[in-house]
Amino acid sequence: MQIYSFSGKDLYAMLVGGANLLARTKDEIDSLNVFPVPDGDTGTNMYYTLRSGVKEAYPKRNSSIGVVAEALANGSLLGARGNSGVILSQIIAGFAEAMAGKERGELSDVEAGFRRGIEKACEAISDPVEGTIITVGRELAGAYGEAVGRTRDLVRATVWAYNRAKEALDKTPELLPVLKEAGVVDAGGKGLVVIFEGIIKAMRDAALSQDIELFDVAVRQQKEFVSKKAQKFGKEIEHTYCSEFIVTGNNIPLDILRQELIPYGDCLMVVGDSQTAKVHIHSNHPGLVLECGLRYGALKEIHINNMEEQMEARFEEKVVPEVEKPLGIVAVGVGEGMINIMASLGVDMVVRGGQTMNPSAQELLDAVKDTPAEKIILLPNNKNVILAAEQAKSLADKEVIVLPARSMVQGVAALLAFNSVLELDENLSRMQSAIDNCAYGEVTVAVRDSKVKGIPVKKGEYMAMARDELIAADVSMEEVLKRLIDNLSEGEPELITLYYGADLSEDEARGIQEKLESKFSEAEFELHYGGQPVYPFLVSVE
Amino acid sequence: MAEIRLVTDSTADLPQELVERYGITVVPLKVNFGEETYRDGIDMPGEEFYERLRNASALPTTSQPSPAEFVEAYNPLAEEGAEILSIHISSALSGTVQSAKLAASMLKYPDIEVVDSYGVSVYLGAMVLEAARAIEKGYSKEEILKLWQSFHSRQRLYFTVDSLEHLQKGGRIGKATAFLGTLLNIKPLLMIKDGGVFPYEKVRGRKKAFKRMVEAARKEFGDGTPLHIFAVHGDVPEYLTELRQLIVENLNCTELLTSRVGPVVGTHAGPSVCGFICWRDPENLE
Repeated sequence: MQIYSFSGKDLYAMLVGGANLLARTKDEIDSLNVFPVPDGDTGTNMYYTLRSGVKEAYPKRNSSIGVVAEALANGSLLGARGNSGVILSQIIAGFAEAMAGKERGELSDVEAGFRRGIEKACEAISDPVEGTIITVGRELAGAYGEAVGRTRDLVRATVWAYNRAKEALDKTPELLPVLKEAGVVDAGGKGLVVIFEGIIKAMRDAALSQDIELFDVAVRQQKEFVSKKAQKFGKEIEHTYCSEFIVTGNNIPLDILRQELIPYGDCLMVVGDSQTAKVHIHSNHPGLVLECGLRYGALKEIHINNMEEQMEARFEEKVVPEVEKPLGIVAVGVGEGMINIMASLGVDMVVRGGQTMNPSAQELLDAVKDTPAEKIILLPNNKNVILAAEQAKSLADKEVIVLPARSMVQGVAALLAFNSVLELDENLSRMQSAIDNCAYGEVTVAVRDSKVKGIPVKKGEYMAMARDELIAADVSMEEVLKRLIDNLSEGEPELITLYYGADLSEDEARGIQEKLESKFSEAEFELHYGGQPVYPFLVSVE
Repeated sequence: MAEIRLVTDSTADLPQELVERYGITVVPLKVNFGEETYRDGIDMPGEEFYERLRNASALPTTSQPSPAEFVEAYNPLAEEGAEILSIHISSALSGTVQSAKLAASMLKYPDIEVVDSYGVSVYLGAMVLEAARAIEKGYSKEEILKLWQSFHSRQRLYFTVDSLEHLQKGGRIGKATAFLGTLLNIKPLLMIKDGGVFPYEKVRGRKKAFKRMVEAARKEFGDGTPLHIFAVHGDVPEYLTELRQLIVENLNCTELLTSRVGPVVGTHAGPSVCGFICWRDPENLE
């Protein structure tokens, strides 16, 4: 099989292939974290980023390659989550620049596209590190460059580039000692390699049906459409229950099933094959709908939602005061307690997310838009959200200042330094210096055995992370906290603040605090409910 | 030449011995617990006031002296033929200046100058004290007015409260509302600026707040600058002890006066208030 040029539809199919393989591999990629923390999400982030691109390109999939690539780029720029997601979106954006205005793409365009993509990715991150997705991406671009003079066949060139990328991935531990020590390859690089593997699969099986995967996208669009329509006209929803399920059996007649279901409602979709059929319908008789499916096989993954209820919930969420003020603050955070604390310090909108779930550039952008203020200070509050925040800034149509707080604790320090009666510049410099002077750390539990910076970690042990670096691991929570506070203190600590997570009770947390107080008798201690998942304690030392 | 006589009000928080030493007339404001009215600093000692403040179901209210009370205060000085300089709590915080001006016009005595201090408590107290000393040195009324004009740029007043509750309820908080952050143990660091309460910084923990206040003063005036200091507390003497210690260790104070925040200011600041003013001499004062 040889391909000399490809259309917008081909490009779309390839990226769908990449996204699908990534969807199946994302958990494995997530576990490739250097630190054996339970919240690695590189794979998930890259998947959501790519899926957002694919979703945007779906309605335009029959257009020219220039149009499809642009839609892919726009969607992934908005949907970018986490650092690897942002880098991936920049690569796609560079690719789209090279395809702009073209009807079909050739190998030389692909080569130019990747070259530009890597350039853009390097521009987006201030200090590109070798041994990461950047290295793997550069290898891909270089391999395409070498292929251009030798062949015009895209499949051959892509297989060649894929193999080179894989080799580069295997070498990432040589370039980045932390990877070697932890015994993993770079997660972002792995994500990129997986996407390419998926692309090759898609190229090889161009006729592969993508029905099932697209089903989710189509369903969501329908739901939004129905509830928006109802909102707009103030009408009641005609069919109340959104029903979804999967039928498994033998010789399921998709067409007959579809015909039988039509009378029960609207927005009907039946996709799949003779063994597995996925059904979606809005109906007033979910029971009858299920009975209908039951005739052809066993039912799985049954979801029935009352859409009126969902719509009301959506109405309730949208109570935004529309008074435009000069300055607003948007912060990223997770945990009921942390969110309340941030709100009490004057944050206008908290975007839920953080270490366990990086919000996308789109979510940040929406919060920026929904905050009725002329200028917005954006606190990413996590090192993996800073790039997405920068991306949101570049996409926003009002002035956004990203203050690179790397943890919620630093975000709180910045908010404390904020004084609404002062000029913006004075506030920014105070907030920045508060971030710089706030020593932050956290405690979590190891999810696998590992070794980082010479520190052996056993699964189940508590790990202390100081400024995102592993500094101690031990079976005793108290011991790792003590070492964490020691590490974070420059001289005598004055104020130690502990934010306890969702999995600890107040009594447990207080017990640990009291033990620590006897060790740091000179310092003032403060204990607050943070409610964050995964991290029993967030710590700041001042 | 006629003698210059100083009149101020009870919010100056001046220690009694200084009032007597310089022959200063102090007109009391009033605190009202329900129907009962007490003259600030006269009818109810500090301990008793703060005890009642803590236990009162509703916050007391405060009121400015009436013009008649000012007339009463000015009359004997006018009879002496003195040049009267009457300086009072900021007009942004109280109507006292208005009462004084009204009294001055009612009295038809030509030589009363009513001045808005743009401050309160030790701010006002420091201005009165500086003037009293200048009078002893033979300064003219005009020279004292100039001294007062320059005072605002020669001083910094920092104070902190455990909670903004009292300032809030009394409506004296103005811009400091920006500082609400009740979930964390936040100590608002406040200033007196442009006649009102101004938020300076939010600090976590009281010890840190005290350190920051002294640090801010040192940064503002530069290391080693000789400073007059007047420190006060509401109803927590340990706070004052702690603050004094820090001041002595970190600032070059030529004098360190201490006093207690009187009931009227105490009503609005709450018992936990603690702070200080520091000011330097003007360049042309020997």
